[in-house]
Amino acid sequence: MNSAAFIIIAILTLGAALAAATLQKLMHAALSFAGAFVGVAALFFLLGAEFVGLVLVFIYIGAVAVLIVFTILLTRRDVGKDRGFNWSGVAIAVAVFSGLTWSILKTQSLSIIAPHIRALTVKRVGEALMTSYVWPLQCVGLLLTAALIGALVLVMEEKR
Amino acid sequence: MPSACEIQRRDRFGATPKPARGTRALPNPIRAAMTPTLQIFLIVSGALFSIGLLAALSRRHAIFILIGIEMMLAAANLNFIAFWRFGPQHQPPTGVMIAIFSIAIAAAEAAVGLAMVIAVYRHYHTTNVDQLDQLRG
Repeated sequence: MNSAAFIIIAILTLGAALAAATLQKLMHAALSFAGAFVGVAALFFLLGAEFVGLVLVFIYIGAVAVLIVFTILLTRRDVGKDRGFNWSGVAIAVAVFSGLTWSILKTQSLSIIAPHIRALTVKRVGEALMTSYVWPLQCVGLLLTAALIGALVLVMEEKR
Repeated sequence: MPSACEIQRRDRFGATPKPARGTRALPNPIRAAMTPTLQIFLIVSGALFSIGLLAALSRRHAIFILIGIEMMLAAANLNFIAFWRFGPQHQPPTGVMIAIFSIAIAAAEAAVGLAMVIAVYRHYHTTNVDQLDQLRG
């Protein structure tokens, strides 16, 4: 695992995520959101889960980011000037981060180096999906159908 | 002398596979310090989670809250993949499978959430969550 690549990707990911969380303009925040997910997908590639990285790019950048941009455009009249920023949220986030970091650094058994593994091919993922995980797969399909119908019902024009 | 927890884990999952030559006993301490460990990935994932929490808690716009929730879910997925990569390997790669299902559920959640944002905007002509206080007692 390449450490230089890891450092660059981690800095880019966290920077883009911070920009998405703090930028005032909604459209810029949506673009930074897409950038942060490119970084997360790159981290997945670095960890050897190429299929999941590609799925993340397809779903988040191909679908969710476009959906967010559409929603911003549809609710544009409301996008005005700066709205208030809640500083207690910052305090809570910093407290959560320091607590997580403290507990991670305190746990000795986590400072391990990645073992050598067999490459995770799409064939192996597909075999697992079609054998051990076939029922969860069906349930996710049902859930996606229900979410599609639910989203359509929510945005349908109300009858007068 | 391995601990009781170690013995129990070995009985259930089998011995930890030996890493390939050159990855375990690093001769160079600088290289050993530079190689990413599980800790570093967990800290990056914790930072991503905290940034998502920051976006969800401190912004007023409903779309920002959804963006923050998506970032927190991505941090959880990163944790799943990291633990899969650094842990003992099994034939159904459980961490990867859970990450795939979690991505699918996050996509469904995003679709329904953004539909709700549009419905709320149509009703109240605002997406500022501070003004949606009709149910407040």
